[in-house]
Amino acid sequence: MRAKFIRTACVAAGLSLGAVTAWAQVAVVMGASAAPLTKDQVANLYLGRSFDLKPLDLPEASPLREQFYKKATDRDLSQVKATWSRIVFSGKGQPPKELPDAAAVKKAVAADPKAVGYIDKGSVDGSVKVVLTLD
Amino acid sequence: MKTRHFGWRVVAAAALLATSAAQADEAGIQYKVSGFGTLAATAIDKSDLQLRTSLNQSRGADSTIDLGTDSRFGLQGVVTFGQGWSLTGQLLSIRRRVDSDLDSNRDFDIGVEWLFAQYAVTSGLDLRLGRVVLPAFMISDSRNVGYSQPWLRAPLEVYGRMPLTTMDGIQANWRISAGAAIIGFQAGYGKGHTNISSGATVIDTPSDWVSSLSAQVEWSDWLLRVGQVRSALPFSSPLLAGLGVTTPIEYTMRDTFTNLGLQYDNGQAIVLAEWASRKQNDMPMTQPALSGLGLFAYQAGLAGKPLAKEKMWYVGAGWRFGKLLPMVAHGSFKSDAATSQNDWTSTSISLRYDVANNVALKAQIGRHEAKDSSSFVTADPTDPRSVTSLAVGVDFVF
Repeated sequence: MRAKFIRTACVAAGLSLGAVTAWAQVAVVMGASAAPLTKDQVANLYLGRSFDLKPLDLPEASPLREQFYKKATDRDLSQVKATWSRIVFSGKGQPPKELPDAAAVKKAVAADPKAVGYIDKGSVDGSVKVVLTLD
Repeated sequence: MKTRHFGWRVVAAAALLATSAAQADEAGIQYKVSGFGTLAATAIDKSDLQLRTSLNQSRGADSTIDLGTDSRFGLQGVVTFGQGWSLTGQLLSIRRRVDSDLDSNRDFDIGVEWLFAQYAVTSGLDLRLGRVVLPAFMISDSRNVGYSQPWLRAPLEVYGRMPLTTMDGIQANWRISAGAAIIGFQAGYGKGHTNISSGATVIDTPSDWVSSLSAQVEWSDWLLRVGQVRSALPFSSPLLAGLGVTTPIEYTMRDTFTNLGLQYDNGQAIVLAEWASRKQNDMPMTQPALSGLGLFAYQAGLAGKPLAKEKMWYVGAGWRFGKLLPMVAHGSFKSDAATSQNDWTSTSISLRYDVANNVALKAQIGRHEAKDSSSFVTADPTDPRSVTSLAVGVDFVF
């Protein structure tokens, strides 16, 4: 009985967490002096079409990663992986560097004017500049 | 795709104190190992001929299940030295003939597909030296990476017609942004080598030289590409000995392969189309009293005509339903060479299912109508055929 309650509670918590993250706004962030980017520019960076800037990723397990790619590129993670495997195995480049969390992304973009990352809108602070907001 | 850092990366970085802290992070020696593979079972509805996927194979799939036709494995290593220098190697394990013996096909034979040093002059300009891909087609450089492809087997009418896939030489790649569009140029020059099986003959074709040029524009969901590969193949005596001509001759075939490709992929809908043509210079015009290639050309009705004149195209379209991607493709190959009028068409339906972020299951059924024997391995190469093929497989990358 108790086990079942815990399981139900966990499922409910998971659902509500999923609901919250599904509506999260994703902020594309760069260093303080950066100019705004368009959605096309962000998609070009994260789909390996353009290598002008250095895109940063969150881990595959992060729910924000899936949302970011859906919103910025209209592609799910399998499609993104397929796109990058074309680039990697043609020797043209390597996929965005993965960082563990929003704090690491903020630190990296603050330190390198060419670095681009994405974080939950709620995690934005003065150390970074929002160059594009994805609803 | 894991990054491993050498212990002496720190030492290398220290040697580059002149660079900024941010640049020093890239300056160390790093290496990355990644891999790809496809394991697929293929069969056709005929037992007296075989469907092959490359002109250099002399064995294909017949009515028993064959694991060699569509399967291959690759392993790639990239060593980055910093300051724009890197070294890339790729081993490819695939069915191929290992010598001029017609029956020397070996499944999962391991060969060095690529091995090149690269120097990135700027973030948009790369120079390569070594064994590089010969980019004859829109998806040449990732054709073997099944996971990156929407279908199980790219249309053979186009992709099966270019036996040269790599060259040893130099190559430059240049990419620039123009507004929302990305424009890319590629140029290369070097030597190529391959074997072609035709009927009971193996034609060994080392080239004097191979050159390639291509330009492409990527704009949002669109990609448009035009490219040309030129090669000069000296018709040497050993090559012609296989065709019954033993007298030494001098003739260099100049082969020009032009390709136009269009891709649209908005994440939901995908359309791929390519057109290609092959042109060659004319064979020597000669009299029957002559010997060598002149005699051969005369006998074969080739005098004053090119050995091959080909046009090929395909169109493929698919629509994603979540993790499912059904796709229909139709291809056509036409040759009006002096020796024969060859036609070859196929229509295929494929299904891709993404089971994980690096694994896809695929199935493909195809109907091939052929007057041309060159895509089949068959006892009677003149016999027109209709063949149905079926293949199921799994693609992965790591």
